[in-house]
Amino acid sequence: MPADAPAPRPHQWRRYHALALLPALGMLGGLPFANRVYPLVFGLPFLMAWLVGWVLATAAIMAWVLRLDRKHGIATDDVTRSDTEHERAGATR
Amino acid sequence: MTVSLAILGSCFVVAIALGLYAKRGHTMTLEQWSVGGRGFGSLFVFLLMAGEIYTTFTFLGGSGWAYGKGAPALYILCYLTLAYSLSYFLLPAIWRYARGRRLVSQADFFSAKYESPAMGLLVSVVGVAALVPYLVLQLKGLGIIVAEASYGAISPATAMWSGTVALMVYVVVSGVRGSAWTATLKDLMILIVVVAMGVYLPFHYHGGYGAMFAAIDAAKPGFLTLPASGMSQSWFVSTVLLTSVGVYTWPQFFAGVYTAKSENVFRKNAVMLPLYQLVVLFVFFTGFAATLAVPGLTGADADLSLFRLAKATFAPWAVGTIGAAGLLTALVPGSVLLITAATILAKNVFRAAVPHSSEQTVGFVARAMVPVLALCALYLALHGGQAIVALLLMGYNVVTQLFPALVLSFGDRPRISTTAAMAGIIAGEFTVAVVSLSGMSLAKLAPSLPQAAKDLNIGIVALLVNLAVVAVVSVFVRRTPAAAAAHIS
Repeated sequence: MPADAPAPRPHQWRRYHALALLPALGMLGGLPFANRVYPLVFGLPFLMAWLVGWVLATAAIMAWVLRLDRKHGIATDDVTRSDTEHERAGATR
Repeated sequence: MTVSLAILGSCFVVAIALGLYAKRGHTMTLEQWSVGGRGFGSLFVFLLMAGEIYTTFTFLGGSGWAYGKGAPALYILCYLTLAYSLSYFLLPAIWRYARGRRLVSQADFFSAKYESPAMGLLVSVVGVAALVPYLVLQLKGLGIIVAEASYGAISPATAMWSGTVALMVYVVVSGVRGSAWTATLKDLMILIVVVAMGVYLPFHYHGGYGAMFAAIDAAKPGFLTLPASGMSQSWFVSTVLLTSVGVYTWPQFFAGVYTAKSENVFRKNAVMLPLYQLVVLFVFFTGFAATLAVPGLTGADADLSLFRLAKATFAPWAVGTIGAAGLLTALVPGSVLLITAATILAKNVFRAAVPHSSEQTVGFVARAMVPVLALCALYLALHGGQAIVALLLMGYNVVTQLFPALVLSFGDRPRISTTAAMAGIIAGEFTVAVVSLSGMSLAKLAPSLPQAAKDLNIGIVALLVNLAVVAVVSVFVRRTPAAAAAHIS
C-alpha cells in the first residue's frame, strides 16, 4: 500500500447494526408457524404472504439502519471524483 | 409467427447497437473495460447489482420451480433479500479496500489481502470454474427462449450460436459499459413483461389470486407449503442461508462493486433492492398459473412452463415481446460473466505467468479470452443437459467456499494464515466435487440421522469441511510475522 494513501477506516460496529439480523431471524425462524396455506392474505397463501411481509420489513429495517448510520456519521457522504483520482495517481500497482 | 420473429430480431439488433454505442468517448484500458473506470453512479450500479435478479435463471427457473415444485421456489425471494441486508456491511468494506489499489477482479482482492499471488491463482481457478457453468446456463436459457418465442422457427442451436457471436462482439468492444447500457433496456422490458403476465394470467384463468391458490391447493394438497421431508423447512433454511452468503462470493459481484463511484451507493441499494426484487413474485404467479393450465411438463421441461402458458394464452406479438425480454435476461448477465472470467484469466493467470507484461498486453489478453470462453461455454451448452436450477446450485456451492476466507480477511489484516485459507478452500471444493459427481445427499450418507438433518443442503457439509480444515491448519500455521508486519507498516 502506498505511503500517501490514507489507511482504510475500520468498519465501526454499533449496537443497532444487530437490527440487520432481524430479517433472517423473522423470515426463517417463523417458518414452523408460517408454513400453512390458510388464511389467505390478499389472496396469497399464508407462507408466501409471510415471506413477502418480511421482504417489505427488510427494506424498512435497512432504511432505518441507514438513517442511524447517517446520524452517527458512518455512512459518509459520497467521495468526490477528484478524491478517487488522487488516490489512484498515488497507487503503485 | 412472423410478428414474433420480427420483434425478437429487432430487439436483438437494438441490444447489440446499444452495447456498441456504449463505448463512445472512452479509451478501453483494462480498468475501463472491466470496471468502467470506477465511475458508475447509483443507477448503473443498481442495475448491474440487480442483474442477478433477472437472469434466465429467475425467468425460466423461477417459474419452472413454482410450476414443478411449488412453495420451495420461494427460497429465491428469501436468499436475495438476506443477501441484500448482508451487502449493506460487506460491499462498502470491499469497495473501500479496492479503491486505492486499482483492483479489477475478485482474485486481485484475495491476492492483495493475503499478500499471495498463489491465493490469487487459486481464487481465479475457483471463480472461472463457477462462472463457466453460469454462462452455460445463460446460453441454454437463451436457446430455450428463442426457440419457444419463435414457435420453433429458430432452433435452440441457431439461437445459441447467434447469441454467442453477438455477445463476443459487444463485450470485446465495450466491456462493462456495454453491459450497463443494455441492462437499462433489459430491466425496463422485463419489468413490464413480468408484471403484466403475473397480473393477467391468474385473473384470466382463475378470476384472481385467492381463487387461483385455492384451486391449486384443492388439486394438489401440500403444493403451497414446504413438505415434511425432502424440500422441507430445514432444506429451505439451509439453502437460503448458504445461497445468501454465496451471492457476494461470485466474482462478477466484486467487479460490480468496483464500478461504483462511492460506497454509499451500496447502502442505498441495500434498502431499494429488496423491494425491487419483489417483482420475482410475479414470475412465481406465472408459474403457479401454469400448474393447472398447462400440466404435464416434468423434469427439465418444467423450465418451459412460462412459454407454454404464454403461447396458449397470448397472440404472437405478445409472445415475441416476452421472448425479447427473455433474450435480454440471457445477454446482459452473460456479458457480465464473460467480462469477469476474461479479466480473471488475463490479470490473475496470464500476468502471474508473465509478470512483466504491460498493462496494454494484459488488456489485450483479456479481450482475446472472450471468444475462447464464449465458445467453450457454447460447446458445453450444446452438449450438456441439466435442468437450469441444478446447474446454478452447483456453481453456488463452488463459490461459497470462498466465504470463510473472505470474511476472515477483514480488519487490518487477515485473521488466518494464507496456508489455512487456501487449505480450507481446496478441501471445500474437493468436497463439492465429490458430492456433486456422486449425487450424494445426507439422507444417503447417514440414513440414521433425524429427518431435519437429512434434508440439510449438502453444500453445508462442504462449508463445514472447509471451516474445519481452516481451524486445524491454523493451529499449526500461524500468520507469518513478516506478512503481518508488512500489513502494519
